[in-house]
Amino acid sequence: MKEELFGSQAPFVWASLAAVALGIAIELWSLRRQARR
Amino acid sequence: MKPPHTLWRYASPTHFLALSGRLLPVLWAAAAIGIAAGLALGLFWAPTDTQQGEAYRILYVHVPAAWIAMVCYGAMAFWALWGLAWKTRLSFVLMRALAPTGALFALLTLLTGSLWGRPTWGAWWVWDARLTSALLLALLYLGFLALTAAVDTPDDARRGDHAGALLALVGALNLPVLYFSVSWWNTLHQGASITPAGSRIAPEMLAGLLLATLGFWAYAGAAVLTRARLLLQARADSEARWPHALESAA
Repeated sequence: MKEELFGSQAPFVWASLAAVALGIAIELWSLRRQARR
Repeated sequence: MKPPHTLWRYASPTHFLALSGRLLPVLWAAAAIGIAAGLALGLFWAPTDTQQGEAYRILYVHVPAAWIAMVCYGAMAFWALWGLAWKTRLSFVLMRALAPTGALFALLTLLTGSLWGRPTWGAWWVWDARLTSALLLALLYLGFLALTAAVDTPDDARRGDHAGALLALVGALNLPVLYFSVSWWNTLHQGASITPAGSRIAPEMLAGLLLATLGFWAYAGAAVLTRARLLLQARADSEARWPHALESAA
């Protein structure tokens, strides 16, 4: 399966996805905090 | 008096709140479905690229992030100009609601681009025209956020509107440079693969990219509208406090 999920380039691919997920999570948390104020 | 055009009524916060309230559930749902389906297709279904190997899968987040960062800044400049010209109260709210989301995607563009560049070009960063103008875009967003936060006061969260609008307008000069950099200069960054004339991407790779892009766009729209509603509410609360503040000062 895609060379066991992306082979030697896996760290780069997963780090990118993690960065996007973290960025979105921070923005959603910030909007939620703003809404509670 | 009847407004000159029916579109003008959407400049009123009341209409904006009603319209955005109806749009938000649709946008959040489209964001969740689009991002999940697009990334699933891009990561697990699309074939391996013959030249870039597996690292090209980073482009399923890099390309939508770059489009959003660029278009959000254009929209910010548009609302800045509209606010300075017509003084509609919604314009500056939208301008300011766009900035944090645009900044987030500008930073993600740089980070994911760097993570793609290392295995593909052999370098985390090069001072090429596209990368440099993308860095400038991220700095302009951060400058906008810092400037408006510095000028605002606890009593008046709209003091930074005019200063922010001027920076947004001046910074918009970077947008054509960013967009056309790959055609104007001989850059390491490749040219556009999707143009109005068509796409140079294989259909099985393109499907995931289009779906993910749609999903990220819906997410950006939902985040901006949610923030605009919160900003409008905060401004309405601050206006409601003025009479009490005047009474206690008298």
